[in-house]
This record gives sequence, C-alpha cells and structure tokens, in this order.
Amino acid sequence: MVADPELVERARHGDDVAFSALLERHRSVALRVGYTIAGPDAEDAVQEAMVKAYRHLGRFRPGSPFRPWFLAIVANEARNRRRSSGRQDAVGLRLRARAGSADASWVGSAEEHAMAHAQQARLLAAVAALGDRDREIVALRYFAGLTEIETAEALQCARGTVKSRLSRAIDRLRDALREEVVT
Amino acid sequence: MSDLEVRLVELGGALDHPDGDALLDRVRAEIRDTAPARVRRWPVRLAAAAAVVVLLVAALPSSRDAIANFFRVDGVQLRSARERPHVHPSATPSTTASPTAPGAVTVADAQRSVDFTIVVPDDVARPTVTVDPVVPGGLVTLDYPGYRITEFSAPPGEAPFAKFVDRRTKVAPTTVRGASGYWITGTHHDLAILDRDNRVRPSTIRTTGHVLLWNERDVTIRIEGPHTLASAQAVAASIS
Repeated sequence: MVADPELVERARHGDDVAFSALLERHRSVALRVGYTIAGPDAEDAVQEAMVKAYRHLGRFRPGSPFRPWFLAIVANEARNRRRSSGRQDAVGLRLRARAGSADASWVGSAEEHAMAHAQQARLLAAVAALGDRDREIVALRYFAGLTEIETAEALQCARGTVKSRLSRAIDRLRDALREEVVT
Repeated sequence: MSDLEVRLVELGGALDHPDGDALLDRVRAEIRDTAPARVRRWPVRLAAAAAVVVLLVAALPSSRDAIANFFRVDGVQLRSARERPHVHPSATPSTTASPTAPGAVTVADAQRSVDFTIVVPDDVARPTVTVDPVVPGGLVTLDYPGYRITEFSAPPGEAPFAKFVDRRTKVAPTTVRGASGYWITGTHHDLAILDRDNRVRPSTIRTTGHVLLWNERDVTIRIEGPHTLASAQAVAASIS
C-alpha cells in the first residue's frame, strides 16, 4: 500500500492515477464531514472540494499530513453551502438503516439492538441541533478521527482553541441528552 | 476519551451520508472539461546551485498547472496574463483597499480588524496603512517611502491573491527569513484580489513591479518597491 506522502508527491507531478487513489482513500471521511456540516449538500461540497484540492495541490506543503489539509477544504465548501442555503434549523442528519441480524459484529438480542440504535439516533439528533461551529468541530475530531493537532490544522486555529471548543461542544451535547431524558 | 466521545466516534461510522460512488468520475470529468491536461513531467530542471530559475511561462503546454506545481505560496495563485480580465488596470501604485474601506488607519487599528498578527519593518517612517476587509481574514497594506508591504492570511484552500504572469516574468525561488519564497521580477505583471468565487475584483487590478513574496507563520507577505533582491531582502530582514 502506498502511503499518502508518496501519493501526494506523485499527484503533484501530474500522476492522475495517484490523485484518484488519494481521493478514494479519503472519500468516505470527506463525505462524513460534508454531511455533518451541510446535510443534503454533502456530495456537491465534497465534489467541489476534490476539484479544488486538485487545482491547489501545488500549494500543499510536502511532508504535512494530507487529510487535515483536504478536510479543511471540504469543511470550507460545506460551510459555504450551508450558509448560502440560508437554513437556520437543525441540519437533517440520519443514521444508516440498521443492519439485520446478518450483522455478525452485533451480539445481543433484537431488543438490545433496537435500544442501541435508538440511543444512537438521539445522539445524532443532539449533534444535528448543535450550532454550525460546534457541529463542524465534532465532525472533524470524532467523525473524521482527526487528532486535536490535526483538527487545529484543519481549522487553522491554535490547539488550545480546539480543546476549549471541543469541551464546550461536548458539554452542550451532554446537556441536550440530559434534557431529552428528563422531558 | 469519555464514554460520550467514544459514542461520537461510533456515530461517525453510522451516518447515512451519500456513498458518493460516482463522485470520482464527476470530479475527473469536471477537471477535464475546465482545465488543460496536466503536464506529466516537469520539464525545467531546478539546478540546485542556481540562484535564479527562469520560467518560460508561455512555452509550457499547460503553464498554469505546471507553475502551480512549482509555485508554493499560500494564498497566492499564478495565472496566465491571457486570463486577466480586460479592465483597464490602474498603473499608479494605488492601494488595494476596496472603495468601501475607510482609508488610512493606524497599525493598531488595522490589527484589530484582521485575523493575523501584522508584522512591521524597522523603519523610522510611519506607514500609510489600509485594510481590505473583503478578503477573508483581512488584507493589510503598509505604504512606506520606497516600498509597500502587503500581508494577509488566507484560510486553507483559498487563494485570494492572483498574479497574472507571462513569458517576460521571472519567478525565482529564494529564501526569505528562513522560509521559502519567491523573487518575482518583470515590471509589467498585474495582480488582483479575488472574491470568494475566485473571480477577479476589477477595482483591485493593478500593475506591479518586482516583488518579494513568502509565507511566514501562515501569513503571506509581499514586499514591492525595492529594485534588487538584496534591497528587498534587507527590508524583510528588518521585520521584527
């Protein structure tokens, strides 16, 4: 398997196969981030981000990690679409349909499975109801799995800022989940 | 990681996002339709010992992409002079401030309206300072007697500054304060600021002289005015 730095270098020298491989590797994560930020506009946002990444490969600093750089572009595109859509309400996010009992990784009764799914749906609703900035940092740090440093790089801010923003987002989620249980 | 954070990580894998199966095909089609084919091999050898590399922009089959591969300064994109919109550029060294900007302010005022730390050279003269607030993060211009410093910090993936170059432009890599930068010569090339849709803002087109250009701590810095690299580097060196 060819690592990112090598694929990026080849792509920067015009190797379109390498660039395709790079995009493929980060496609799923990009869609998660795009979806969390912009809901239904995710695919358009990621498509545009991929085109921009191609055009701006010349400005990528060799040796730095590709994923934060790319996800920064994705987040930017998704943010712009969300803003221009003018929607103020919670972004429409859904869970994938449950795998059936054929899902070998699940151990437990059908009831337990249903409860876990419902709990996950509540968490997703709470994330969807977060403000745009909170939702974006949750998407980068938890859904895309970036480290705090990589998240800081993707958001072009200090690591300390990432820590405090994450901590506030988590607090807001906890409050939302608590409220939900009580009502 | 707390339990909630673990649940968030799991949630990331359960989102009903589009699978984007046709995404790469559409991306390839869009790239093919709107840009010339990428140069497969960089034809100009960068001689390690040479201080100056002359890029024959018009001679390369797809100059813009080839140059983009070579030219790495955050926030600035090189475009062919053929792509410059046909608006009469102002050849006088006017400011890059948009018509809505208030005009000269102090460095402290400018600092309050931009997202990065403004750097200043060691110069006894007080500069004329203007801010262009339309550029994401703000763009500051400091006019000193004999030279002008422009500073901005573009968000990743954005390049609000465009330089239109042609075969007469020489783009030479150089080191500025330990960072890689460029000394761009040719007293005829135009520059412009782009809006968020990557289109030229016509009021910002102007012709520029030799420029020393580099990135320092996520800020893009340009020094324009000095006629030699040595004198431009001297200004750069005096920045605190």
